[in-house]
Amino acid sequence: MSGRRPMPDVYREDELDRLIRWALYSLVINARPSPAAWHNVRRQLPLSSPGAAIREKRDPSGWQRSARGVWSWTASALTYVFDQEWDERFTKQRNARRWRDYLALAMLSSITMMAMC
Amino acid sequence: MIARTRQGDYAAFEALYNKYKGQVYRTALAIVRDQGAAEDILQDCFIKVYTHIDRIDSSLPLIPWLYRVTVNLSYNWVTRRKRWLTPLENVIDRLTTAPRTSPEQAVEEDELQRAVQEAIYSLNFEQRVVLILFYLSNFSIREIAYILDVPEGTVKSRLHYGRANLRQKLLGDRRLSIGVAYEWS
Repeated sequence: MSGRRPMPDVYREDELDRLIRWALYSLVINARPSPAAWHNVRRQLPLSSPGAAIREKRDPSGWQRSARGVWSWTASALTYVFDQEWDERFTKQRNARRWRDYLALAMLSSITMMAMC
Repeated sequence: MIARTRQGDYAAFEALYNKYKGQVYRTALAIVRDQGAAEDILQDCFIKVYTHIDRIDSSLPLIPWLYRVTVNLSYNWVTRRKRWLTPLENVIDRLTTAPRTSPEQAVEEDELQRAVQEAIYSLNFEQRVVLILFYLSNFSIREIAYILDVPEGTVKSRLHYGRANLRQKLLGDRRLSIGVAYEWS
């Protein structure tokens, strides 16, 4: 059923309500997303399951693990060199230990940063 | 459907999308008044559903969560939008509006619809969203408060001032003071 009415009286609460509802419905009536929207969503989803997708974010990937392994080994080797060689060479020097501490700290920082990647 | 989606069932996720896409899209469209943006918001919303599916409590209804995400994404879009584009888009919109078959009545309806829609759109974001959730999505005050994560009193206040501002804008609109009529259907 349809019929023409005069301009609604917006001072009346019910008329204002109807006017707002009518304007909003007319704005979205027959509005539908295009089929391409779903394809875009589908295309952007990770290939693995949602749980796995979240776990992927938490767990390091293969290359991250490899990088950490290499850095860990390098750090161990360098620490050994410092302990064995540099200590012997600079035992008599006053600043030897301080230098070693600085270098060890720098290495630890690097390793931590790599681990955070 | 949520449980099956968690297990990687794309068909379940597609069913979830098909079930709620209309509501999400229409709500976003009402807020941003831009079909392309509404579609982007719809896509982003469901990508969030998928990537956050482990955090969604399947014992609770999904709808409020979806609306919350939709409103937040719409807010991001509105705030990101360059202000100078708005008047230009309005002009383009007017120029490209398809002609209607019943000229006189269509013009009157269009004028009134446009006037009310523009008045709604000119409200601030918070008031506009409350009006849309209340009048278009038919949510209660309590539900809107839950979706927006604000106290019920805030929702009531936004609704009250939104309506009051809208009334003032409509009363001050010349298009509505020349006796246009609208049709109920």
